[in-house]
Amino acid sequence: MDLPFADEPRTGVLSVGQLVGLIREVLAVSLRDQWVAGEISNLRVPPSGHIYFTLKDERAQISAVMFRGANSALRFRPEDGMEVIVHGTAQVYELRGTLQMVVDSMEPRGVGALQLAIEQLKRRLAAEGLFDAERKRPLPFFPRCVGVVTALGGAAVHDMIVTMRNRLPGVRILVRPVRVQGMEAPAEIVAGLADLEEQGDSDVIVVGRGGGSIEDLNAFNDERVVRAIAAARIPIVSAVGHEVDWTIADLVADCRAATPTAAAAIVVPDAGELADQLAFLSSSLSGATQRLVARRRETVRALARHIRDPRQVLRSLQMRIDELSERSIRAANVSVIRQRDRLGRSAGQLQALSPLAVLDRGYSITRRSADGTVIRDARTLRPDESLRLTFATGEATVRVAAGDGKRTRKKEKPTA
Amino acid sequence: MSEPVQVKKFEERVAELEALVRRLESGELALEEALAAFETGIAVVRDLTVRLDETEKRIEVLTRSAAGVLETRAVALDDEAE
Repeated sequence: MDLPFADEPRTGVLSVGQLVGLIREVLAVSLRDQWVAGEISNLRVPPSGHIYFTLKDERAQISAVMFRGANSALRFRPEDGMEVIVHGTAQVYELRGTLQMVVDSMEPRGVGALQLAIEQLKRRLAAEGLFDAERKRPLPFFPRCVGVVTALGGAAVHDMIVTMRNRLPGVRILVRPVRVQGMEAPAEIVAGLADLEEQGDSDVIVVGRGGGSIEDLNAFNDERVVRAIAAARIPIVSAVGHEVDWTIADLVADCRAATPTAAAAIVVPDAGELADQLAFLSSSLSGATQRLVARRRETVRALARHIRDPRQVLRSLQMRIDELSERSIRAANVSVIRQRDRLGRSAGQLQALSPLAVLDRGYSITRRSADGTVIRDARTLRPDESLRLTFATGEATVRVAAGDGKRTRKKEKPTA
Repeated sequence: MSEPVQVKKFEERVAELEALVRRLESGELALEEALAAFETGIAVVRDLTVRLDETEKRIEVLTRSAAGVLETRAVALDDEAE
């Protein structure tokens, strides 16, 4: 055995970096993609979001890290003391020369495989759209018959019946007994749903059981059951007594109740509340009708005030007639007066046109005394002829002067 | 499956009743219409009250006979006063 003296360089001596690099290469080739079971201890979650922990068993331990990208897909929260199965690759952290497991997925041990199967089924059915909100059908408001698919004699069926009875005493409950756990359970639940649909009286169906471990609830994560619920024509309420985890049946049902009792309360309305509502509507109906009749009566009264006694109408007509006749008499009188005025005016005009009226203005009429003819032309006069003058008042006889009767001057004719 | 005459749903009848009350409250109905609406409303109230008061208390179990025929059989709830 040679002593490793360092006084002269030897071939085959590695630097630290080379050694760690070699280890790294070896590990990368031979320890890639390992499944490792162990217990979590010394768990740390710094603000970076990466999870650091130690994976250990009774014989050994190894540091482990699950980076943020990988651990964000976890559906549970890792805790110290938790038994898990991790998947990843063992690596060397070169800076410190330590070994560590870089974990890319983690399942809780024991339920891991089952959980995994459930998650896979869930993902597949979700992709089919089986859980979509628009597939959910509304529950009947007032079911006359509630179908129940559950185990007979259990607490679940008892709680449901009691609750439904308390809320709506008249409701009909049709129980289709099935086994809710064990190998036969899924097929029985599927058959129970089918029988209730075939029987046809149920307005809504509750399918469920009391609480239990995830293995107990297995039937409600069974694809056959889930698909039967999805395909049902009657609305389905799931009532698997398990507050925390939802089964796939819960996801696909039209409505999910946390417990059988809660399901009963969802499915059946409370008769007392309905009676109150009905009483309110009934009194509204009476009140509205009474008000309407009262309003109509008031309208009739108002109209009645406008209708008058026919005798009164007759009296007022009589008064009108009297008034009109008075006016007509008055009008007739006025007319007579007017005629009389006109007559007076005509007489005046006649007066104005009389020749006698001209004499009033200073004219006179000259007539030949011999024959009374009116003289219009001075040339017809003969000297010394006798003329008779008529004035407005009185008459006189005159003689034509010796030189007159030759010259003709009209204006001289009316001698003053 | 065979329901020859579908009985009107409870909530439909309630909605009917509410509509009647609204029409009456609007005051636009003629007197005859109003009285007819009132009578209809009273009939609906009576119908719904009867449904609420039904105490048939039927609990049945659905089973399939050996011949494959669906049968219902009444049962009593164990803790009910007999």
